[in-house]
Amino acid sequence: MRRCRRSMRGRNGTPPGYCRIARHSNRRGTRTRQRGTRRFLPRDAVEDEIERLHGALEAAASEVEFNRQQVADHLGEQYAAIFSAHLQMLRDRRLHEEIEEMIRERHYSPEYAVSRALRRYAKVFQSLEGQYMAERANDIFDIEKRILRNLLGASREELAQVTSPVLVLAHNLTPSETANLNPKFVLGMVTER
Amino acid sequence: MEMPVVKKTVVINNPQGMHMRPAELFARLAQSFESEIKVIRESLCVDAKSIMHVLTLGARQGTELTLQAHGADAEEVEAIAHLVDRDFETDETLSRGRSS
Repeated sequence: MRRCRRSMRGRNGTPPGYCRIARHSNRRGTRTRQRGTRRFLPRDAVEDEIERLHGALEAAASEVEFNRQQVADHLGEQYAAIFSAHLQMLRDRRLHEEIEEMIRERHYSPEYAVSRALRRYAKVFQSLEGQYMAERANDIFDIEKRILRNLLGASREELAQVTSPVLVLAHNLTPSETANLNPKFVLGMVTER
Repeated sequence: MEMPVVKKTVVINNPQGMHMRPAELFARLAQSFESEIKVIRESLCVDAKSIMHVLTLGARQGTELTLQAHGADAEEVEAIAHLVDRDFETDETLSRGRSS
């Protein structure tokens, strides 16, 4: 299992399950992918890429489940609710169908398809009346980032990895980024939004 | 055999509207149905089992939604209406004794 990569306990005293974000893309096979933003796929790669998509979605979901549990344990269930919603989004069958269709019909790479599909929703949310829904676009960007990181096998999430006291200044912090801040080192944060 | 179609109209009452938490509970409950369930807001008609779809309705306080269930357990769509009526307050929402 690859869950468990982040811990509120920080780096020292790393629990046994801790690992750097591994190359998820190789989980289901030995094929090595080039990284980058290739948008289109050769026809015969479609099925493999759909499988890779599902691997990344599952990996992202188990990360969110881990976060949900951490937040529920430390802060209480009501604060973990946002992650239950993220989990639902990651497992949304309609979303899966939409992404798969882009891969199958338009031969988009999973990375490109994920961004296209999710950004479409973000746009709709931003167009809805009221501040609250517009802000939900942030949740979409949060899960987009998470899926892409799993697809691309990026090796770390810097903000979660700080090892000395810091102040975080950011344009914006997503719910996951906030939940993963290590309270031992993060003395404070300032966001623009 | 013709599957029953059941329609039910509900009004969103909670001040924040159909935000993340309600949408999550709503979609999760809908997923426990075998029936196909649509949520209709004026000209928009989406899949009740999809949190993404449900959120795109942008339902706010006072918004009227129609639930339309089609399938073997369509009659039980009342349970979803009930969830909305209770402003998404749950205790037994997710354990109303249905299997999957």
